[in-house]
Amino acid sequence: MTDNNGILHQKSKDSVERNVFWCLGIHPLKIDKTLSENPWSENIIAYFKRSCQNQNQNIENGDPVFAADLFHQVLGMLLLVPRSEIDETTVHNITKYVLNLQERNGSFGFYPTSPQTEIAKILRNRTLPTDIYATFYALGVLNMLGVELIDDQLEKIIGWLSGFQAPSGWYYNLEWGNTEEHHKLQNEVTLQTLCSVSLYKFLSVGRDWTPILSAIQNGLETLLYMGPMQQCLQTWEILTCGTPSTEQMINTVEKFVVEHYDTETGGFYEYLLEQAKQLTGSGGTYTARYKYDQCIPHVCSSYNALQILRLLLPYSPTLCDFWQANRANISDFFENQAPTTDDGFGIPVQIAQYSRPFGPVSTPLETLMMLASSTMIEHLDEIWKQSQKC
Amino acid sequence: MSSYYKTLGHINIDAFLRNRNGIIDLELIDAGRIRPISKEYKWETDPSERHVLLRPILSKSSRTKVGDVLIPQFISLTPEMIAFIGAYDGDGNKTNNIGFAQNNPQLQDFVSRGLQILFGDSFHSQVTILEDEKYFQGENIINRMDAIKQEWEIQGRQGDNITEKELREEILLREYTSQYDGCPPDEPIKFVISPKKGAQAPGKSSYEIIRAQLNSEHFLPFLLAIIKTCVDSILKNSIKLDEITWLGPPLTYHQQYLNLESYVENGKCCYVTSSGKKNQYGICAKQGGLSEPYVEWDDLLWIQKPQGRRFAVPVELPLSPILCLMLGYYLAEGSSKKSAYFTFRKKYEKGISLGFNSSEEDTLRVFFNGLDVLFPNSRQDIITGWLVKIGGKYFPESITVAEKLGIPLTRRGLKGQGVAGSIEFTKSVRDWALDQFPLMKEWTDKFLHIEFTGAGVPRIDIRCASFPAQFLAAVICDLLFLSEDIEEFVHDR
Repeated sequence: MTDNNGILHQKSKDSVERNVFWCLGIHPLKIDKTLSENPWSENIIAYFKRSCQNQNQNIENGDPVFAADLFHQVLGMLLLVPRSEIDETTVHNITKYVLNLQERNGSFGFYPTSPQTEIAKILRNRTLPTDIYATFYALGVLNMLGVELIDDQLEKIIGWLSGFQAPSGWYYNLEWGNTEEHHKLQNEVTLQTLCSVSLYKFLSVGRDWTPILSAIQNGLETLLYMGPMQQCLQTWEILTCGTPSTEQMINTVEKFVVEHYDTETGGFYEYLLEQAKQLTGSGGTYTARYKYDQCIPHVCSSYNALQILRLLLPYSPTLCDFWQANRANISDFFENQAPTTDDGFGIPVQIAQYSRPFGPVSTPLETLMMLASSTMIEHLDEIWKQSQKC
Repeated sequence: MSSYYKTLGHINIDAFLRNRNGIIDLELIDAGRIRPISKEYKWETDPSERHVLLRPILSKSSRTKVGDVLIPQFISLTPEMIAFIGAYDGDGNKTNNIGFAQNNPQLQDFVSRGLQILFGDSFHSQVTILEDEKYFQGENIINRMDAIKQEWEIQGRQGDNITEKELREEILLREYTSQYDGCPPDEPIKFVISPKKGAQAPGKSSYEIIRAQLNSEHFLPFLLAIIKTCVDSILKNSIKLDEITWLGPPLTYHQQYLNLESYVENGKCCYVTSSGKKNQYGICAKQGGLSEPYVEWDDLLWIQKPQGRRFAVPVELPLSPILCLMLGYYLAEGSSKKSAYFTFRKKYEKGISLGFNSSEEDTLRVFFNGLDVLFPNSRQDIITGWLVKIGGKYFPESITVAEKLGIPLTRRGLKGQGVAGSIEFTKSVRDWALDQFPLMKEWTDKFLHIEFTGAGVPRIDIRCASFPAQFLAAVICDLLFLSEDIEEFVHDR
């Protein structure tokens, strides 16, 4: 890890290490070792340096700044930017801003409650501007920047968080999404559950985890998206120290990973477009979607697949064979990515033939994933070798 | 079509084909897609008869036999014809046969009349009735199907021989027939019952009627090219394009106007309230001196519902190409329930509202320009907000965006047909919308939220105040469907 002497004490360093593992599934020291071989390391360093400065500017201007973005940006900055180049004012302002996001119940939200900000206008008529994931990310930022909340506040957060567990075991916030559980989008429950479990673990709070483990076990087969699959397995790893439970669970994940792999690009799909009907004689298939729609493999889905492989390779001969057969192609997928104009990484989400990509192109999370991809691939090689010995 | 409406221009079909050497080659932007459309035609013009004989050139391998189609050499661009162009561009078929998707019979007839002007009796029409399988899982519908089965058994049919398919089709046929008071047009009817039509829950309907012109597919490129050329010329405010001649700048020119002062005074803008009471808009004041880029009038009329908010309309509503085009698009993309146009003066219709939905910037531009004509200087008061609607088909892309941001994608509404809760996602998609539809930048402050609804591509939904909704419904209904009833209020310029 970059020398952070002076600005961060040991607890902050521990926090960065913990959050790098939470986010990327590998130890920061491993990333450090491969950094010099990364052809885009300068771009990535510049990206995180600049994005933190931009967020500082946004904070000063009252423009929207979200805890999720800050978490990944601060993580990237502390991981990569030498201490001498980290702007003290930026650190100070981000810390102050994040502390400002905290509500009386201990949880963190989306914007300082000034009605003049642009985001406040978007959020008008919302009564509770806090959420589980915002709280997780905000606490992560504060810890990485060396701020520790007093016990009283932590207790409030624990009390607040316990109200979000549904009878099914999943955690979610009905204020922000009151959709019936079986209609919820999958990453709504899986990511909020992961954030909740991570918060409990971070706050060293013990609970009866059985309902969550049951929910994951029962829900795994119904998952359609790579992100939620990874989030479920990460939650499982946090709660059980990584031991997969049943053969059926492993089989489900194996099938999912193999099906979502794209042999052409070496990447993994977030979702498989459903085939609506086969037209005989036409030489092709019609999907339920327009032929111009492009659900292509993305950095997030592909890196999440690597994270799943990290957890499952020791237990799955099928995935070991899969890794051996496709490792080079998967590595090429990441190596073929190039930074966007802002030095960050990301693959555009394209809808139909709209000229503009849907949502942002590069994001802090994808840039972190690109930073860690070669390290993760080497790590998977090691796991694979170990499994072959066994 | 109304006999007293004056033409605002004309299309010279011979020049239209000559300028392209008979080759139609265009890119149609529709629902986020670019449709390349290409077709070659031969044509002969008979100047004495003022007709063009149009014949598509088919590939040698094609076994299809296509007859010639006789088209008037000059197509008058009357207010109704221009509205037809807007309506077809909104809801007309863009592939296969020429056809129009709408549930309302009056609207179907309106479009059929427009097609008749262009193609005469060259094609026979066929009705396709579409519904979602979920509709037939509703308790009420199951009971109705049981009743029909019993009815047929009494009539002597063997119960075992009656299929579920027959019963479903009978239900749809009865619904369709009732729309025409028991006497639908004599056309062949086809039924398509699909599991993916779009109904959200058992018993919920996704009923749709498509009236297609049989064997017309080779003439669809010609029709779409005519429509695109017309719309482009209006938006560019071009008077003469050789093939299309407008009698004046299409954003402002008009031959006739609707005198809104007498129209309102005579109770034409009436409606029935939720309590069953018949109300009407009244005039509060008249004022002159305002002028806007797209309006030439001097006088404004301030009108209001009883105890309602007052708003300005022109004393003389110009029947200009841009207004007529906007009304046509509104028939297709407007938020009002179409059948309510024909009933809201007799019974309470909560489906009457003012709003607009589109995935194309040009169509949004037509809507905004039309609002300028209808409500000069009041646009800011009329438009209350806008949002981005995302159809269920695009959940994978939405979740991918959420995953990129590292956030959960939350929604409101018990069934998930509601507002996106994740503020990071909301901001990302709003930024996308402002980039994709630069026209909306003027309305950045009025952005409301992201809504997951329906099935289509992400699109802009413009929400307007309710106070002028019945006024607009009255104007659309009278100008396009009941023009004979308002002849006394339409005057020459």
